[in-house]
Amino acid sequence: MESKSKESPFVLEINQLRVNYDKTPALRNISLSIPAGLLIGIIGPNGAGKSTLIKAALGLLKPLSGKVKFWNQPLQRVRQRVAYVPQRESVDWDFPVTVRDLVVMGCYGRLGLFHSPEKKDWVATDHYLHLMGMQDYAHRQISQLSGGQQQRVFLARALLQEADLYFMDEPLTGVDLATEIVMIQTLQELRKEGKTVFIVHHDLNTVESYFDWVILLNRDLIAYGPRTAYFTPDYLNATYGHNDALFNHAWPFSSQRQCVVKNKTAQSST
Amino acid sequence: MSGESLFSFFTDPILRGPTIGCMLMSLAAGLVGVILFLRKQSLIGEVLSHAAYPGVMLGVLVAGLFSITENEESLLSILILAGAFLTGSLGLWAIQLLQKKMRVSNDAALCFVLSTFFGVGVTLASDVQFSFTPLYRQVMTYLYGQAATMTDVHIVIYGTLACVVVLIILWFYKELQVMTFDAEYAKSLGIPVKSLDLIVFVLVTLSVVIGIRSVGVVLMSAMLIAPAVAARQFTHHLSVMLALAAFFGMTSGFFGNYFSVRLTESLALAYPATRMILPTGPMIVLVAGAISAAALLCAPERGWLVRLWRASVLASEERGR
Repeated sequence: MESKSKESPFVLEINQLRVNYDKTPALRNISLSIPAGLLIGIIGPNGAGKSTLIKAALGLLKPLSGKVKFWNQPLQRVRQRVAYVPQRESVDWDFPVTVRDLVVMGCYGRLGLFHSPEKKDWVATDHYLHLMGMQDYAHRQISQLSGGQQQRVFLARALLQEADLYFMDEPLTGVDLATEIVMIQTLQELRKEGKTVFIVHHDLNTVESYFDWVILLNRDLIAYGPRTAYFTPDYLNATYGHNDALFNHAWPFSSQRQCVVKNKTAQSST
Repeated sequence: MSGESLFSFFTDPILRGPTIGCMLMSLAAGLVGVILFLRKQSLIGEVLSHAAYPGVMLGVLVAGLFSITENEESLLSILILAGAFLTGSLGLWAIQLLQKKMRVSNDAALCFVLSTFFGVGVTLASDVQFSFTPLYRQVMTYLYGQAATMTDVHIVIYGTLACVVVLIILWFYKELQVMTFDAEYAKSLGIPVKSLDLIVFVLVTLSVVIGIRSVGVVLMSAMLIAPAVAARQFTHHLSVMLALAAFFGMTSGFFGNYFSVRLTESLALAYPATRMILPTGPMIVLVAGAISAAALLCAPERGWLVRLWRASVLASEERGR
């Protein structure tokens, strides 16, 4: 771990990133530097390139140009320190695999070729299943899970990677309130340990209570930085453009909803 | 059906070639078929076998040009297999090209490649019929398969293929599992998805190309998919599914041969005038189809009849209340 002392203060640096789908630009000239230990919401309308940004950073799609560095190193050198939670809808939930078998996939990268999970990997798998409240479902087939449970299992799998940086694609979309609270608490725990979490997020009402930083995206990078400075009506109008009427309508509800969630969070943690 | 007569299929010098050969072929096809089935690429097998057909013709034409006769069977087989592998791979590449570069939808690309390549094959076949008439019989063998003429050489070829498939699946089991479930996630873990994809497709192509000798171009894809369909009904574990598919494949391979021989014998006894012969390839496919149908209907938990019965029990309980 000697490299850690020389490490750049930024967990993620993106320089002039440009991604096209055929001839349509999906992301234009994105440049970011993100310090460690933050919960970061990636926010923007549909088709703004939020998932694209995550996938390009993870090397899952090829950018037209631009550089991505983690701790001042290319992704290949630090792959095991970066975990990915894909969108729930992106997989076939009728695949023949049990909950426990799915979660243990989190250690496959660490194991490398020709090594099977060992006892300690299974112990860790059970630990993270328990943490997500899914221990009773360990031997169920994944098709028997509800949306919220599917998302918990995905998070357990990412936790098993024991990474320093997490990219999560809409982990809170379509989950029940109980799951949302469990997940946010878990993510806040990760941040306390100095880890960094990127979350593609849709619910503007909860941004205020969940995130330290925001990345506002609409193909161009509108703004990024501390939530208090950038999660404001002006920047949001710039991000959502003509939908600003909708946003102004939603704004008054946000404070009420936050109170509810915060209270629940407080109750369940005591 | 005495035990001895079943066993004789493994020992009899004429019967053991087709029986063991078909069992090994079906084992390999059943295993790679599970991967295609779970990736929702079942039609790839169908396209591959049809795209291999012009390659078979090319092999025969080359053999004809070098005046290789139908008696030099091993040389002829090698030329035919090489040709089939070549055009089969070309077919796969054409699908990729159509989908990725020309943005033709998946099903259209599959249909287009299948029919075009097969069309070329049929055209070449009619040429072979007149230019190299003695070799034409070989050509027909590959269209519908001819297991009955397989020999000990085929046991060795199919045995090698089956070993390679089993070993690769054992070595890369966890990688194949995660990349079949979610290729992007597998890539994010640092798993060499592209190289493994290539290995999988070489295995699929090999299985199909070698398999068409016994069940033929038209029926080959059934041997990839039918065991997978049946196996999926019984388990929620990929490892068990692979084992079951291999087992169902081998069972079909065996009983296809068994019924082909025994039923032809009984038919000859019952209707001596008709001279009916039940060909082995179609019998294998029919047995595989029967296993799948039984599994789809009667498998515990997922079987259709079982689900109907469970629903009716629930409904009657509701009424009882």
